[in-house]
Amino acid sequence: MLIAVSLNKKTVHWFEFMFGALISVGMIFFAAADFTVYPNFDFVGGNYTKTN
Amino acid sequence: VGTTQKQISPSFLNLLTFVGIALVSLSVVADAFLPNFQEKVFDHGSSRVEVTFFTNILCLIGMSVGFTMTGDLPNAFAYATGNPHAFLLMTIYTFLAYIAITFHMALVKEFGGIVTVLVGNMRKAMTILLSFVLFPKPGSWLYVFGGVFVFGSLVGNAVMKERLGGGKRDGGRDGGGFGGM
Repeated sequence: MLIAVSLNKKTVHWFEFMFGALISVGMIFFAAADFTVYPNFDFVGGNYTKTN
Repeated sequence: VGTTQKQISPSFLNLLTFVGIALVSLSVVADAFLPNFQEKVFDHGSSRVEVTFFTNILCLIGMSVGFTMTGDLPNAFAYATGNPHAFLLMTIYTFLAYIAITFHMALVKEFGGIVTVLVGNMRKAMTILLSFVLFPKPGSWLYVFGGVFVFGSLVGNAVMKERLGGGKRDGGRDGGGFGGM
């Protein structure tokens, strides 16, 4: 949305920013649900076994 | 996110982690620019087919060069030729992806980049819901909260737009209204 405003000179209302942020929060909830459902889900994306 | 167990040194793991997060972050930023650039190209009078063709041909060239350099492309070919079922699934995926890209471009052209991204987010949420049907897995209330936030925000946005437009349909390029979805 920020790029649309700056690059394409679009008019974006305040509530569009707000709902866009809330949609992102919803997607974070989905990701957080995956953390809990799959015990070996690695937050940083590498489920590797470290060697000494 | 991979689940393959591999032996790897801690220092190399830290490097991989940093590079991975940096690449994902770069991908998110590039994803934010892409529909806006496509919209700008549409403003210059390009057709949907032209934008689809050049977006994908440039992507194909870039990925072919990149994956050839990393050695992933030969591995992918070897896997595809050695697994006919996987090859069939990838072929079907290619056709479906073409249809999806066509609809994506039509959305960018008709409603603009912002609406397209929001529709894309709704698509992701629906993919998660569909995955529960196709691949049964344990549930979590967090999925419910996620669904409420995503679908609630889309509906809220539509309602606010409807009020601003005085109940009129505003699906034009600049309005980018959800009323046109």
